[in-house]
Amino acid sequence: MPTFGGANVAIWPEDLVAGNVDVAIIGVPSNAGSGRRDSENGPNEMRGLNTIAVTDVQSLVEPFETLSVVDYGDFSMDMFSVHRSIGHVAAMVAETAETGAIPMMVGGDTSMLYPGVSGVARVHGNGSFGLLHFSAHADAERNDDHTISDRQAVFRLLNEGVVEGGETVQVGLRGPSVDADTLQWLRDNNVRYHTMAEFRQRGSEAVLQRILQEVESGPDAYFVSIDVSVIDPVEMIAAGRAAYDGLGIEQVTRTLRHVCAAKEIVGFEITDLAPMLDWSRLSVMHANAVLNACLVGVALRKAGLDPDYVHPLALDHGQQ
Amino acid sequence: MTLLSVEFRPALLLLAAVAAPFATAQDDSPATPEHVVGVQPYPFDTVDPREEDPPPIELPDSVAPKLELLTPEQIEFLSSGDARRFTGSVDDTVEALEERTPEEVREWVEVMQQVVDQSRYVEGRDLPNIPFNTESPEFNAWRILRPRSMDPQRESGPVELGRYGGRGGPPTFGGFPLALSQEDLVAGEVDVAILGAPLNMGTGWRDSGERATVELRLHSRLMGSHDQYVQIHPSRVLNVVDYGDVAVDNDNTERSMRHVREIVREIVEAGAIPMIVGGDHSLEYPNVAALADVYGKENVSVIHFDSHYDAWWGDAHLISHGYPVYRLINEGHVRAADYIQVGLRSTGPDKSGFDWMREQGMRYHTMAEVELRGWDAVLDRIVAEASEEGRKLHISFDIDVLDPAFTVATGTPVPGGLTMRESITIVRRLCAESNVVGFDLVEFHPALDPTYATALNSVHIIKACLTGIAMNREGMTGEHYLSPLSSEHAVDDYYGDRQEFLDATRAEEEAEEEDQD
Repeated sequence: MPTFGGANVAIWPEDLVAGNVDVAIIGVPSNAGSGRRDSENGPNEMRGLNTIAVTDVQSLVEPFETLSVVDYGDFSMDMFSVHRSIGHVAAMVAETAETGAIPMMVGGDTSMLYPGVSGVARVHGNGSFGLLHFSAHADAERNDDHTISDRQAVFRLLNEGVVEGGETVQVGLRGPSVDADTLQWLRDNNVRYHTMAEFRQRGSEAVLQRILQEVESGPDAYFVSIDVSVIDPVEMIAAGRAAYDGLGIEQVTRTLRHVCAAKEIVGFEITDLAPMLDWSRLSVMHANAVLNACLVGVALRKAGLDPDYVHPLALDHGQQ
Repeated sequence: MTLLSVEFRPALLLLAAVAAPFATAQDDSPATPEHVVGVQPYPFDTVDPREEDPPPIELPDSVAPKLELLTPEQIEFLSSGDARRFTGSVDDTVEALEERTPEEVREWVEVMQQVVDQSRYVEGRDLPNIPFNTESPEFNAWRILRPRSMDPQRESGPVELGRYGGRGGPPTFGGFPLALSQEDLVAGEVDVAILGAPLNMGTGWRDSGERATVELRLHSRLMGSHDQYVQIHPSRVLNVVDYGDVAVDNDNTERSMRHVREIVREIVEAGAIPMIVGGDHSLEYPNVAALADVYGKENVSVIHFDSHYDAWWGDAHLISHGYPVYRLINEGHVRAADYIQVGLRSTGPDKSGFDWMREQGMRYHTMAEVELRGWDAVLDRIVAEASEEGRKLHISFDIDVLDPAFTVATGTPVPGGLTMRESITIVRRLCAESNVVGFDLVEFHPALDPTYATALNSVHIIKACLTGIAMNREGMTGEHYLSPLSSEHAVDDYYGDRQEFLDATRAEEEAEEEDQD
């Protein structure tokens, strides 16, 4: 039976407590959003392609050996109303976080970022953690006729004070939703944003280092969010809102491994995988790699290892 | 069970006489390998008509000068059935000899003899068995069940994995609850246990391993859902569970057979119907053998849906997805006369294969019969045969019986098969009108299924059987039952056979009106 990474199944909060669970992976199968649909099938396809719980070749850490990880099933959706779904999701996320387990959510479209982060905030407190958001899209639309959607997830979180602008880092912005008006608003709110223009002008390594420094000097705890559109379509064609010229999967996973090890992670969410767009299932494999990278980071932290720890056998045929 | 009922045709009674000697092992036969548990001696019976040597070639005197360099043994070889594999007919042989000088004839015969010799098993030269590393401390690790005492304490019974009344859990077959042990099946009074069997050793395409059982679970949401045709909701009538995947050794079919048989037997002993989701068609063998273990040898009939007859034998292996039928018959689990074949249309069997099936009393319904008689006639004939004498029936459904338009993602597709419309009907009818004790669906290869059409169609074949079993439990076992309400709008008697239904419903409506007054 397919579960995330072949993890054991937990059904109720008492299971999480009894099992001393470190990480609860949860499907949040919403299927709305402004791009291509099918994110409803993201969680099950990621369960089906069992490529989580993989040893990280740099640290030789297998996250499931260090962490107690469970598949916590799915949170229920009203498939016809994001608005009606978010209340239940936020409550369930809060209930999960209350047990001490880190909720790691698998979307679903990016509208579920809002209840994911705000549910965690109900337990940890508004403004008590930073938000690291990888996405091609700013998701900061302000004047839409709806009050919640993927396009407004970040706007709502900032506007309601769930997270502070100065403690929000956005990575990989590009594409049709990123115009001068949007960037101006992000700037006015003190958001640390990094567009693909910056990556190309300054060089990817310099920008990734800058992001790590910003996170390093930020709050102790972070919620990490990855809209799969941040990854280049060559490696992630099944993004609901794909945009050309994105980051490489290696750049994303390396950064995630570091951040999830360097900071306390209060929540994690990967959104907007639309598996029907990729018959080869490469996109699902990469989505699992993203989730696995953060699990490795959390495991490194629990094991007391440095975020950039390199196992001596991992380099130079172990002879140096 | 009596061997044959008196209603059988006299020809079949003759077959019973032929079959009788098979029932006793000969004392002087070689030691039977551990894995062969049938009543037949090993090596397998050698009177199989398909194995008869081709007739010898009578060479005319005119070619004698060409044979002058051959030894008497070589001349005998050239006249034998073995040589026919190369030389074909008498005319072809004579023509080939006339083209060659005596020296060339000698060389030609020597080469043929070498090929015949090299093809056969020779003791000392060839491995009689595939060796295992019996020193491995992990020799049986692949199939060791976790001791129950290592599980967290819980009450026995199926476990609902979702928080929302059957929804919200990780994907199981049909969203059904999970059962892990025989105790769970008994405690839950389970009617049907669906078991994944990710065996991936078929020829053709090869992707029927874990990907297959996983993909079918991912796309099985409607497996137990309401059926419009007969107005029954199978998952509300039956207790159905996902029994997980059985362990298989995907480097060795033979080793996998024993463990699959144990786990299927566990299900049958608990009183549930095993539904095995493959996996390749080798699985028919352990599935039916397990039923025979519980119900007794020769007490179970099998209906085999397939474009292939799967009774091949004679190469170096004793099991593959081409041999389960022969192996079951040969080990005495099922009588050939209790086998029904449906949908055959692949390149084989040839005349000798059909002769063998016919002489064994096997009932077969090829696509040629469908072409000749029409599907409706063949359908009624098959259901009648399968329901004879209330026989216990196992349905083995290779999805390649369907036309590749519906199931392109199968290991060995053959065009010209059944439609989904035909298949849903026959599977629903069999599961409703016959005494079904087992079911398997095999040969789904999801790498070939980018559109998920094969997965969805496969799920609906299983749904058709669940619907039929639910009908059977509810007593809806009449011939080709369909709901009078859903099978037409039924406000008038357009077809001339619905007056009774109209009268009955009208009477009901009037009674309701009177109640309201």
